[in-house]
Amino acid sequence: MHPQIEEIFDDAGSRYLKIEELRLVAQYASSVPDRLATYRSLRDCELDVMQWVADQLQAEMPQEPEATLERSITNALLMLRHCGLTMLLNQDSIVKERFLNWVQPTVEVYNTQAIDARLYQLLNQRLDEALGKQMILLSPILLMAQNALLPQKVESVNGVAIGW
Amino acid sequence: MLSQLKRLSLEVDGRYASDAELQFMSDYVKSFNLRLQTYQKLQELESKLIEQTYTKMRSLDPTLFMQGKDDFSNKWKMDTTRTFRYVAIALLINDPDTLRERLLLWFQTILHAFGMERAADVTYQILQEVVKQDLTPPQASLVCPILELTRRSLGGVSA
Amino acid sequence: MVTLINTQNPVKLKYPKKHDHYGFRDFFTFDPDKGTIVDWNEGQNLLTTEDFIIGLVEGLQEEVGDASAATMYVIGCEWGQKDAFFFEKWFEKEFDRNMRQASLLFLLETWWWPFTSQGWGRWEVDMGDRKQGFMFINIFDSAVARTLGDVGKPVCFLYAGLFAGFFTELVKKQLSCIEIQCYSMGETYCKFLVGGQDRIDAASFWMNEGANARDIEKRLRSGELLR
Repeated sequence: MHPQIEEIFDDAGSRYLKIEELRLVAQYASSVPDRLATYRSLRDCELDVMQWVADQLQAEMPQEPEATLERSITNALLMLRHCGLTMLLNQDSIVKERFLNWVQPTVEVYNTQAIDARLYQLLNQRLDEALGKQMILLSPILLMAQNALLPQKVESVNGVAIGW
Repeated sequence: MLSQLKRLSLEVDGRYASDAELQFMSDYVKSFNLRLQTYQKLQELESKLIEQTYTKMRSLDPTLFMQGKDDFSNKWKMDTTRTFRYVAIALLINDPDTLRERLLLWFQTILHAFGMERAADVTYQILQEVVKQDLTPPQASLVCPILELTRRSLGGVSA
Repeated sequence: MVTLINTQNPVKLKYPKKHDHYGFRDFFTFDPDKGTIVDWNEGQNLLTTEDFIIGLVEGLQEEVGDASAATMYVIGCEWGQKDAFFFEKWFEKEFDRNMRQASLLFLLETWWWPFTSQGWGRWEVDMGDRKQGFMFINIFDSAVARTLGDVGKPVCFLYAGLFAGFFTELVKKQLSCIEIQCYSMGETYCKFLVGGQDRIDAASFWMNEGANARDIEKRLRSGELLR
């Protein structure tokens, strides 16, 4: 939910919600069916998407040791799941505090930026194909997370750089 | 709903939620309009409902508001209004758990310290009756369980 | 007069006189960057697991053997005493009056609430025998007892010391405390007796003879004492 909704109980005893605050609650409630649908689609297509991405990556980078590729793929998987949950709950702190905070340093340490950059391109492409219009809710969060982990901006499928 | 969302986000960490785990969200959406309607009704009727409750309680047993020689009717009105607003929020976002954790558990011990549990028990009993008169049955069916939870917590019926 | 409030707690900043602030996210402010957990009364906190309690108890046992119980009690006493001063200050800040001007039961509930929020368990105070110079405290979900489980003997020495230390400061009379019933002995909750040393000694003697908590309550209330 919107951070302001989180604070809904803070002053619960002294007053009722103002119209703008009620509107925020109503907005989130009305967005839930779309969020649920996107989340379920993501959940149901994850295996196929990640398998394809892993196969592609392996084919394109035969020189990379398997363990290295596996690390990037595992991180991408976690990223996807955290982004999905972030989108569902409309709560950015989930992907930031529970994923980016600890993965960010490891990307530098293990020097996987090149692999990750290509991985994200493949991932975004495949997700676009699988989710179509539903990407509208997921895309901003996913790109934000990806850009946080890479020094250069990640481009979306049609070549337009999207930052956060 | 807030506490359910928090619980969900912890339980599904690193994985996806199943449809069963997501059911409460769909349920909430279905009930939202009724909740919003009821919330606004409670806001509109707040003083009337509390006044009615006060009058009924006074006629039932005026000593409910006495402690020794002190009449704490005003304190009662303040506390009841406060709790009523908490109940309204809990109803809007379907979160009796947060109502319990952030108000009821603490407030019960304070009421106990001042020997006011019986007054609280009667208050939230009568408030339920009064609410049923002014709200539609679907609206009342949302509020009364939360009022009953409040009665059981504050009235010293359950720990 | 403007009182400057030095806090990072977002709820406290907005509503400094909010008395209903004992929910987990109300009471504690987590700062992941600084690595701190600060509570509503600006006390620093640590999150520990049951391993910590086990380590403490068993480690102490290893170091000083049978003296571990007494050691924990003494630690509790110092803690209780220090907490009394800490409590006096924050109570006055929150309620704009001296703690000795407040209703006693209300004061005590307010004192214990931070402990409940911290996970030490919920309590019940029985002041019915106050005029006779003793009182009982029940603790539900004692962190120590629940961690150690049923070990066949009382284990909540830290709590006993805490009560002794705090109440001694509160009433300005030397008080001791003994646990007369414990979750770790198969009971559903823990019971403590707080009173003068003579009462505690009597209870201890009766316990050694096999008396249970109810026996002890009965004997104390009927005025029985060791000669």
